[in-house]
Amino acid sequence: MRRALLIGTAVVVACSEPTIPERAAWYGFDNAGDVFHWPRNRLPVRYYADTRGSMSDIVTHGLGSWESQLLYGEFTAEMVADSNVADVIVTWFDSVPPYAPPDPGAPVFACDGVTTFLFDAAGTSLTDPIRTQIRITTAQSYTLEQVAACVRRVVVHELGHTIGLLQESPAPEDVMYSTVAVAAPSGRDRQTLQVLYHTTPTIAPAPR
Amino acid sequence: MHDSIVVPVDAKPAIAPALALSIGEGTNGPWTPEAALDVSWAALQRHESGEAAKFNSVTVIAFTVGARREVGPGLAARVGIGAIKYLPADETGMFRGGSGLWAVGTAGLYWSPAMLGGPAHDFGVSLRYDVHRFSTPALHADGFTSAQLVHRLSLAIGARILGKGRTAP
Repeated sequence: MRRALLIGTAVVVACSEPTIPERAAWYGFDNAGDVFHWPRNRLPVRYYADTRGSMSDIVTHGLGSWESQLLYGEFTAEMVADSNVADVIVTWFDSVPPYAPPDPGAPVFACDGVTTFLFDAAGTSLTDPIRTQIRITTAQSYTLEQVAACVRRVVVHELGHTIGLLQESPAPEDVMYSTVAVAAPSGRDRQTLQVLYHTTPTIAPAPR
Repeated sequence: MHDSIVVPVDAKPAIAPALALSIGEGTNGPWTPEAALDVSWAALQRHESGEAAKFNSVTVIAFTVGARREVGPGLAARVGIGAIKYLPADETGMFRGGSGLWAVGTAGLYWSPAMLGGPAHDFGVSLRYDVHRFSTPALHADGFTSAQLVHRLSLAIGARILGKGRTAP
């Protein structure tokens, strides 16, 4: 009986290419022609989430849902505990809902969100961390479960803005639709993100 | 993996270290049956617009069974078939949802020249080739409906560490 140990180097070469998907279903992501996405040298992007309530878990979940849309690691994020070193800060606008499992039923619009970009005078670079605020609607009464489901949807939507999807989708099936009714990015959201992250940006992130 | 998203995008492993362990049982005939376990560790890189960026790393394990025979002085050839598995460091991106188990075919030459002690000591140089198909659930979900054919070539130094024989695999 003989045994041999081989140590060396391996070269991997790929060929016989499969058909490349078209990725024709995407919507606009620019802001009046200006394009923003996180450059490679800023990955992983640092996110800070409000420590109150379940915001940190919701943001972590939302980031994961966006990261998984890209095939080649074009966008990655990490949570940080210090807002002073964050690239993106996500907070509650005012009231903090107690934890509840998200309602699996039809979506109700029990919350909303806003994401703010501050530009320099030339409009070519951000000057501050991107800020997202999530507000619980008080005009009507909703169950905690409905609020929790709404917050999850809206956080995913607002995180889409923070990674560069600056427009709203025209289709209600997309998580980037203005009145977000789905909990995760759709195929069109995915293709839009993929096209965005291979388009040359014109807006630089705020310096660290 | 070749892709095109606005611009051409290629994702491929970098040149990487590999380790192979094989075991064979001598017979009276010209062919020696053997089994081999190959492991390699590679950084996965995205090549786009003339730049390369690492985005993951992967351990690739291949187990094959085959046969070997001497084809010349100090020279042995081997063929085999088996299975190959990709184990990514992070199950994200093209590896979200994991990866499957793929059939692999392999062929190789092992040269044990006299200046390295010859076949009696089984120091030598190995040139190995294998081919397999590759895809992942994430690639399939993204529209890559057919698998990619992947060719691998390895150059290695080798030595027999147990047993006796005329040549190592």
